[in-house]
Amino acid sequence: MSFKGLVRELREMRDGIGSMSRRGIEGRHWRSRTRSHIAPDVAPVELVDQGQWANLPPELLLDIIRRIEESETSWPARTVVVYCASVCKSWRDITKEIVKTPEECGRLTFPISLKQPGPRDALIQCYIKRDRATSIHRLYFGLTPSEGESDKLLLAAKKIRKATSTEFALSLVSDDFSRASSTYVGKLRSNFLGTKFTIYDTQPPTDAAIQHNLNRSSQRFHKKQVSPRVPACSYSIATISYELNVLRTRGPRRMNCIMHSIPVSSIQEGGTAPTPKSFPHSFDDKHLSSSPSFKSKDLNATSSSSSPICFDPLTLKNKAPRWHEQLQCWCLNFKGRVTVASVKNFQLVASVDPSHNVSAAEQDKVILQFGKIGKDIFTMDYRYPLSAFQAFAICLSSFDTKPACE
Amino acid sequence: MSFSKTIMLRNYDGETFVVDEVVAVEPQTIEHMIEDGCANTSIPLPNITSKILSKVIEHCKKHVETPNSNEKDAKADLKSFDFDFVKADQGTLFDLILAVNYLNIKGLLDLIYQTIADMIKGKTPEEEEEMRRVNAWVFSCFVGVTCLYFKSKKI
Repeated sequence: MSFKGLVRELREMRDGIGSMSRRGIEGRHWRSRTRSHIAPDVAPVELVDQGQWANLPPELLLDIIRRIEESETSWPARTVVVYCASVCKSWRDITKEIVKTPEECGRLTFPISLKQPGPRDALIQCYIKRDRATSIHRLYFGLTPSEGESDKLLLAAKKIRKATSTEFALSLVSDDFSRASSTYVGKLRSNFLGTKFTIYDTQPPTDAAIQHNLNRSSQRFHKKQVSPRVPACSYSIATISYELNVLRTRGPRRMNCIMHSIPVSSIQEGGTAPTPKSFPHSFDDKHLSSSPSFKSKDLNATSSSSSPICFDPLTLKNKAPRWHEQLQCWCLNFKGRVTVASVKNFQLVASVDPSHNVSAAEQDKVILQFGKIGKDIFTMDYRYPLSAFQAFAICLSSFDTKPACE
Repeated sequence: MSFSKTIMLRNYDGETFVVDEVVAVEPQTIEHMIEDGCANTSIPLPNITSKILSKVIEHCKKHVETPNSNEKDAKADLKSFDFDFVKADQGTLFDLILAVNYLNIKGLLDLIYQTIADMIKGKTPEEEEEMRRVNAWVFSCFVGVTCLYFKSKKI
């Protein structure tokens, strides 16, 4: 029996499927899931008989798991690192210790990596596929769609039209967008005209974040004793606005993104961006789970009495294209990643005042780049301080802008 | 035949293994014990069973006996020995890794770590060997073709 068999057995024991005969089918299903889905980051259950491998001394486990992590750097093979974290508690602790954030190593591993900032010096390259029939947009990891359609799905978004606005529900899987699901990660809501969008995240802001950005809906869920199926709290983390470019008719529109959850200091010398370690209400911080809810209660109580702690949020604007006289069109250098002209294409850079003390090199860095490469296929490249979730939500807003600002 | 010093190792089952000193010092733990003068009677290894200890001694013997040359044959022979050595069931591998960690035999420890890592990744030793064999063949073909090319150019 190989180790994959051992991992599978432990998971089967946990799921209550004990039959050996089912393993073949499970195995095939498991293998096909690993190609197209984010490996579900599931909590290891404390089994009565954990087997000797659960009790391997930590220093030995560290070496073995480190070898696996260093050798399987790209998807779909990297899924085995996530499965090592699902075997048992000791394996999970060691794996989480070894795996670095996308900012440090440029690789996406656990689902929480999608909410952590990208690398500082390189772009993480992804692409988006739009399915007009189902109004679902899917974000995949990779330069362009590969031949075998075995690319790693990172996030999916479903467009929901409402009476006075449009919403995109974001999820880790492409078949479940319900707010009560554990795979729901946030949403994007537009105003009636399609000129202003707000991104809502299920991740609570970190200590340094602004208290006044808590959405009103979070006030309802201050008791921790509710069932796990309660809809997630949502926190407004960014506002995106589109404006007509009044200087030239039919000119490219102006985009402005205010990132409430990222301070300007993140792009200053020595600055850092908020990096969540786990999803809210997750098994990893069971003992901490009561504190965010009390915190939100307290924050709501104190926000009215005392002034909230706030910092200058990072503002992003789109890089102004230059007019190409001979080609008679607006041009931006996407470095080969965008090949079809479209009003949706954009590059976002930081928009700072001289008082913010940000170096010119940082100001020139393209933080998010989005553009069309084919029918219903778009590329999305992002870097620090944005996370995959924030970048995807910003790109979705570009899909939904109305003729009012075109 | 020169007289070589032997060391006695007594294990968990009470069995005694007599090994040449040169083999016995492969495990760093034993080497340090000898240096510290603890090897007058026999070295106790209470946490290792006979089955595992005999496997470990077999491995140390092979590596000591194989001449440390860069000859292809010697290296290939050692490689195939190692390859067969780790073809054990999980229980044996688990006991081996604990024993080798205690005895501190670097080369063998690396071998076992890599075997377990490959098993977790889903590659059986046969598949690994196949990959290596194919790669070696491809490389030798490349070398052959390059030689022919340069020969034809009379370089």
